[in-house]
Amino acid sequence: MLHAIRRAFPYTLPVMFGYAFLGLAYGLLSVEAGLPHWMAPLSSFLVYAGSMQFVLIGLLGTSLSAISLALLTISINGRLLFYGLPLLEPFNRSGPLKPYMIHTLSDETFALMTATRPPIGVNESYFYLGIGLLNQLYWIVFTWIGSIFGTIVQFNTKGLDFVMAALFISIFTEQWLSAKERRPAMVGVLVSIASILLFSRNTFILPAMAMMILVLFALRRSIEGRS
Amino acid sequence: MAYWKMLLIAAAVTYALRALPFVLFSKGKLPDVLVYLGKVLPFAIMGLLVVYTLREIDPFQAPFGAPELIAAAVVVLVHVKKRHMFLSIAAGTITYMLLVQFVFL
Repeated sequence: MLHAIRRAFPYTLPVMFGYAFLGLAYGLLSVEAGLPHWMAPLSSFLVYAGSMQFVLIGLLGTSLSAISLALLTISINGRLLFYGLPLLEPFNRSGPLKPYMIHTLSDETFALMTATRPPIGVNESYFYLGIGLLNQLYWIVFTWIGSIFGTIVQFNTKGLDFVMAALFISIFTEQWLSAKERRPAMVGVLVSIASILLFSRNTFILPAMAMMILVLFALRRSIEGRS
Repeated sequence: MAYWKMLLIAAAVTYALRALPFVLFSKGKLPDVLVYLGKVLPFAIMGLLVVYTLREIDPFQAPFGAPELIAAAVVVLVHVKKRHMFLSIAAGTITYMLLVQFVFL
C-alpha cells in the first residue's frame, strides 16, 4: 500500500501547492473569527470541501436552522453528487477503503483520479486511495498551520492561488489533446459561461451541472454513434 | 447554532452527496445511460472547473482579466509542447505571480 501511495505522490504535488495557499488563508480566517486553533483542521477532516468551510465561518453567530444549513450545503456542494459516477467501478473494487475514498472526493481529487491511470504494476485501489488521502492530509495540515502561524508568517504569495486554476487548465488541455470526442469538454465550458450570464458568478455551478447533463443527454446518440 | 453542530451537519450532507451514486448503484450492472454519463462527465466537469476558477475575471474593467488569460495561455502552450502536467502548472503559476506582482499592479 505504501508503495502505491508513494507512486501517487508526484501527481498530488500541484494540489499540495494550491492547498498550501488556500489552507493558510482558511486557517488564518478561522482563528480570526475567534475559533480555537484545532477547529480549522477538524473542519478539514470532517467536511473537506473548501468553499463550504469558508461559508461556515461566515455563518458563525447567525441563527440558521439545521434545515436551512442542510439546504445551503446542498446548493454549494451539489456538484459532488456527480463525482462518483465515473469512479463507481474502481471504488466498488476497493472494499473497506471505499467509504473513506468517497469522503476524499473533492474537485482536486476528482480531477486527478479521472485524469490519471494507475501506473503498471501499481494497485489501483491503493493508488486512488493515495491521491485522496494525500490531498486531504495536505488540506488538514495546511489549514492547521494557517491557524497557528497565519498571523506570524508573512511571505509574498500573491498570485499563488492561480495554481488551482492551472491544475484544472492543464488537465483540461490534456483531456482535449487525448480525447477523440471533444464535444463534452466544449459543453462544459460553454454551458458554464452561459450559466454565469444567466445567474451569477457565485451561483452558476448547480444550474450549470443540470444544463450540462441535459445537453449531454441530447448529444448521447450522436456521441455514442461515433465511438 | 453551535459551530461544531454546523460542522457536523455540513459534513453529513456533504458526505451524503458524495456517497449517493455509490449507494444507488453499488450492485449489478450500471444502466447504459449512466455508463455514458460517467464517460463524458469528467470532460464537461473539467470545463466547468476551469470556468469556475477564472470566474472573477471582469471583461469590462481593466486589466480585463489579462493576467489570468495570459497565464492560462502559458499553461496550455507549455502543456501542448511538453505534455507534462507539473511543468505546465508551474510555468502558468509563476507567470501569473510575476504578472500580478510586477506588471498588473
